[in-house]
Amino acid sequence: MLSPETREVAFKKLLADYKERLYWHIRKIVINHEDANDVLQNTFIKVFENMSKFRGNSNIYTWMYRIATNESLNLLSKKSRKFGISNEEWIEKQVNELESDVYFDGDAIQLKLQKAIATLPEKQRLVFNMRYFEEMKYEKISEILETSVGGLKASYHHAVKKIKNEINELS
Amino acid sequence: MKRTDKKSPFKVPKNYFNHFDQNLAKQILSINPVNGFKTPDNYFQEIENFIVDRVNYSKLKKVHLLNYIWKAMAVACVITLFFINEKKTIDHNDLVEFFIEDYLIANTTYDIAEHSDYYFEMRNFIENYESIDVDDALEIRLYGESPSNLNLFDYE
Repeated sequence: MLSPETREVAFKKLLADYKERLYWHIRKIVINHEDANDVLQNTFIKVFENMSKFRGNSNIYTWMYRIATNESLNLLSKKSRKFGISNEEWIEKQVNELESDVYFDGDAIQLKLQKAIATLPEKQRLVFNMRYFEEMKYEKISEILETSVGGLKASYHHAVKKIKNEINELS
Repeated sequence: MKRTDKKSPFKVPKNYFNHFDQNLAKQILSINPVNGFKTPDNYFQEIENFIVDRVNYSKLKKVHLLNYIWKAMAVACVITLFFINEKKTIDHNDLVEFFIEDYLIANTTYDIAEHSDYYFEMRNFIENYESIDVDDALEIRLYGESPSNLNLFDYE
């Protein structure tokens, strides 16, 4: 078991190394900066609290990504439940507000892409973001989402196809 | 017909297939994977300190709460054990006192002298009857029935 001092040093290292990567991963799921900020904090608090339970069965980076993904999806569920809408509707609402968001300076094409991504089912959206923006390997995504590589490839393929159609429709 | 060699002479760049779908998606969408999202200035410097503070706070809070719970449980255990032992001692003493008193009342000096050979048996007897509840013993006494009347002492 880690001593409190070792635990603290290890945690600070993880925080320094992974805060940005995890933030962008979360941000692409929840869209809004404030929500991403809340989820990032909760993710690291969970990491800290569960560090002693981490047995090294998976890469620590994979483990942290899994926590961040679950926390992001939990936040989406909470928010959508609060407003009595589905997760997809909540995401669509967030994306529609991007134009006026001070923390979004994407051009028209990037906005169009975000709107197209928002139309994807949850799993396809996750896979698309991780593969396209974060350039993650399928094996890594498979460990994080606990899904087969084959299934992920299919999801990504469908996602690209849908986004292409959606962008054509939006144009 | 002569069998043709199926091994292809064509080659692809290294890792071509690993990045194929990604490159294809970029070509299809004609968009660079820059997403347009921004953060407030110095966000990543500030959030690091903020999270460290929050973690320390939650750690302290947790330790305090756990300490409090453990201390409270320890105190409760000590108090409970104290009362249990106290009651047991009182009960035992009362019982022994009751039997001795009863023995002295029920027997004359001569009897006692005569019974002195049974002293150790009597002691064993009392120990065997520790399981008798004090309330039951007192009830027996109120009804004027001593253990000797009930033939509990079978040395006669």
